[in-house]
Amino acid sequence: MEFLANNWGSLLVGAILLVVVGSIVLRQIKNHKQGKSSCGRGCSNCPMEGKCHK
Amino acid sequence: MPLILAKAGQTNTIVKIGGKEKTRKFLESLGFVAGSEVTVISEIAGNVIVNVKDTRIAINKEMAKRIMV
Amino acid sequence: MRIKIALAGNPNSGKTTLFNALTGSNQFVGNWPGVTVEKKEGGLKGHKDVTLTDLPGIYSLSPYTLEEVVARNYLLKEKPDAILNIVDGTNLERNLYLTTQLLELGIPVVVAVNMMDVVNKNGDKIHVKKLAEELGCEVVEISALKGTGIKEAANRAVALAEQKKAMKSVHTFSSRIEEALNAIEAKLPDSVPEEQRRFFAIKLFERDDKVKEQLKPVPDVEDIVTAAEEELDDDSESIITNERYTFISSIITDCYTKKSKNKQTISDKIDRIVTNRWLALPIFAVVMFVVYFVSVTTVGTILTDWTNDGLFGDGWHLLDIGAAEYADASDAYSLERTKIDAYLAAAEESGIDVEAVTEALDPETENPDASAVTAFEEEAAAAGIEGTAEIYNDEGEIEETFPVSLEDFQTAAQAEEPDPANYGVWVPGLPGLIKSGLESINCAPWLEGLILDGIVAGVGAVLGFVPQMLVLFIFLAFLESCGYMARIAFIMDRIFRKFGLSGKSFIPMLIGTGCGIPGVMASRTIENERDRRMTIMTTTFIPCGAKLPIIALIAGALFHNAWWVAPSAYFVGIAAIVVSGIILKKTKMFSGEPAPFVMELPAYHWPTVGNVLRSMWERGWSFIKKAGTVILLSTIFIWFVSNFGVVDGQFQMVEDLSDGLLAVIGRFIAPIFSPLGWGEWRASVAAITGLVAKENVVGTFGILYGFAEVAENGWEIWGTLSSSFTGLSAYSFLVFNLLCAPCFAAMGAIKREMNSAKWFWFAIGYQTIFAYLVSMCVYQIGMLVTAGSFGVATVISLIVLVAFFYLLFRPYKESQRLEKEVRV
Repeated sequence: MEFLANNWGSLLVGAILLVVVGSIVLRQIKNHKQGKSSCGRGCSNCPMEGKCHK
Repeated sequence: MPLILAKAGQTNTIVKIGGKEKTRKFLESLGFVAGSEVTVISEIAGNVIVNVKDTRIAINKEMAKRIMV
Repeated sequence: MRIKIALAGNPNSGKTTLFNALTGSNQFVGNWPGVTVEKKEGGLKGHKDVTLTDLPGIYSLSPYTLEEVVARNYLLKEKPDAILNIVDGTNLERNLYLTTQLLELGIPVVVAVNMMDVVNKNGDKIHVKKLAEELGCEVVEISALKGTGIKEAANRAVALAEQKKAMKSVHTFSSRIEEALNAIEAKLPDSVPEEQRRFFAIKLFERDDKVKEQLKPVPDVEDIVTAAEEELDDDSESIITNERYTFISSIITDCYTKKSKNKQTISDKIDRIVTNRWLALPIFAVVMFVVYFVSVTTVGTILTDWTNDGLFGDGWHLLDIGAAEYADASDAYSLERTKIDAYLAAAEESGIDVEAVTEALDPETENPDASAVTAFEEEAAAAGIEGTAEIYNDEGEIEETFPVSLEDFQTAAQAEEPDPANYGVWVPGLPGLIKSGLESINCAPWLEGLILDGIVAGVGAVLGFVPQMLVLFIFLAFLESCGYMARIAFIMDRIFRKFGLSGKSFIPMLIGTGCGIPGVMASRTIENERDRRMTIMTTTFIPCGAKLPIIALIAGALFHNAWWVAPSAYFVGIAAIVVSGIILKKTKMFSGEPAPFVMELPAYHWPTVGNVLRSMWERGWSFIKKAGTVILLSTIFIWFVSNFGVVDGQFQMVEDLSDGLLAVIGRFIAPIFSPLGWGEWRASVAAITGLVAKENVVGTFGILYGFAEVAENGWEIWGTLSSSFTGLSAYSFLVFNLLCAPCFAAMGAIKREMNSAKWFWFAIGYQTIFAYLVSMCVYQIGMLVTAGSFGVATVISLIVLVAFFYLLFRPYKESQRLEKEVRV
């Protein structure tokens, strides 16, 4: 209990960090599975639209 | 004479288009047909920019050589 | 009932603009060939259940280019319910060539004459009713850009689609041809639908290869065709083409009145200068120079200074409130310090020991020793010390001198450093805010370190360059939209031809200035396999958006924003491409004739502000997104690996980064890079992290060089950086990172496009080795010239240079085998 009280700050920050990092990693993997381009723009505005992924 | 010898600003009429069939067909769909007018706008080392059927088209030397005016 | 409407028309006729307007989507309107090679679909606004398909821009329905085949197949197989044919009103004659062919498909057609605003401005007239009569279909006037008439055009198309009446072609060829066509039609298999029979008959007459794939069985019409050809003394395709043009000419005479026979438009006049054989390249050089100079070195720097010093540094005055007063106070304070320094210098010269008092008066000293000051003052008074202060101006020349007496010194010693927070509205920088925030909740120091020295330092360093990138992107977007980029491709064609590539290869590179990945993809428009591979390999030499922070960093921190650094990076890229092209073309692997270059040049026009801003924002946004994801993860990883190591046999967090695990690995790799002048572990590690994302180079530097800490003023932030690099080694570092293998994402694109592991590794290997050798030569020969240093590496560099020139200038041997296509 004391540990929690003393370190709640760190735990909070650490938890937030883990959530953020985790969501990024998961989203990257999901994008990769879908074959989405990592140039990041989404197809509609690239001059190469439609040509990137078959 | 071939198009590359035409002077800038001059309007000429195309007499014949030589070269590979594929190229010829493509040129035709752009407006390079026997009988149509072509004006040279600018020329740089054999590559030309011409005005044909109201359109500005850039062609390189190889192609321009085969267009006879 | 789902209704399908196809949008067809010439390239540059405004199809995509119309598509955007009708579907509300946001495709970017590019100005070069091959922008759309696959169909795009969208829902028609204001109508339920109507799909609009944007077909690639084509000049005709012949089977010769990829775009044409795609469009054709869609129209024949998918059988849309109606076609909306966009025709460029300023180019009517050429555009109608496609129209006549579309009308033969049997699908209802609505012709939308676009750019009516320009037509009207020119004073030309189009007689729409007559046009509709002679074509045999409905004709609508529109201006896709202004938005006029587009709803009507779409409604007419939908109405026609709903009626489901087949189109009867009004145009008839000359009687002899019609005879042949009827004969062919009779031979068509019954499976061909009524409305399409005429189209197929005409195509068979032209001996169209691709159409044969769709007709099973293929009727044998060779005799019919040959007979006609002999009678008319011409080949079948030309016969048809000529008839079409005759038809169109008659239409034009009837329906189109041109105001003046003015041959030269403004665009033509501009082109005469811009593509002039002597001026073209210099103009291009100047344009790119201005673009890079302004974005990186001037405007960009002002903005980046704010982000680096302000937002991610100490802080800044909101809207500059209080900035002037603070500047004055700060200047006054500097003056006092100068007096102190002058007095102490004079004292030292006459033999008084000033060490203690110097430390006492140092603003950084925590608990100044007041007694040291008093003691010094007594000594100085006794010796009658008088100092002379010298004020330097920006060029380092002495502007003013004045004497400093003991009284002046005493007053000056009392001066306190002004705190910017006391002037006007001061917004403290992010690191400060975060730091106090974390401290207030008692966050563990290592976690605080991770966040401040890792994430904030790394990501902050990268984000700091966003302003410069945005400025650059605005420029590039402007150049694309106004039409100049197309001319550049044409201009470069001449140069590219010298080493066997066509100007078409330049377009991917142009795209690559934004991001290398779409640049690599753009190589698809190049039909010749060898040229394509060569283009893919060299496209990433051009500095992409992610490399910009590296350029800006080196230019700023190590060259004090010398005007030539940023543009030179761009030219190094181009030179690398040209040189690689020449060298590779001379090898057996790549030799061969380049493809011919034909490209339509659209008229110059002022791009819409919206379009430019949108394009800039998208590229910028993808960069920011990358910072928040890939780079964020990388910085965390790097922070951990650099801050933990084995100390005294124990794995724990280290005090000095040079003891960390990363440093150990770095020092192991570093010697590889010492011939290049930067064989230090930090630089080596940074270069390696650049493989994940080029921005990481800057991010890693941010962590390893303590970006968040040393945030004092101006270039102090990167002060430690300049202690590890000399000008020459910095430039060599820059060159290496510019030219070596690109980021993982780009490498993935290369692999996909090359479609062969062997070629992929060849490309990567070539780029990296090329980068290594060039940087080495830059550094070694630079050292030879400036410092006269000479060593093994210098010798090697000279040998490399010689080999280089040989490969560049050796005679080009044409291949000995003659290959010719034979049609069976």
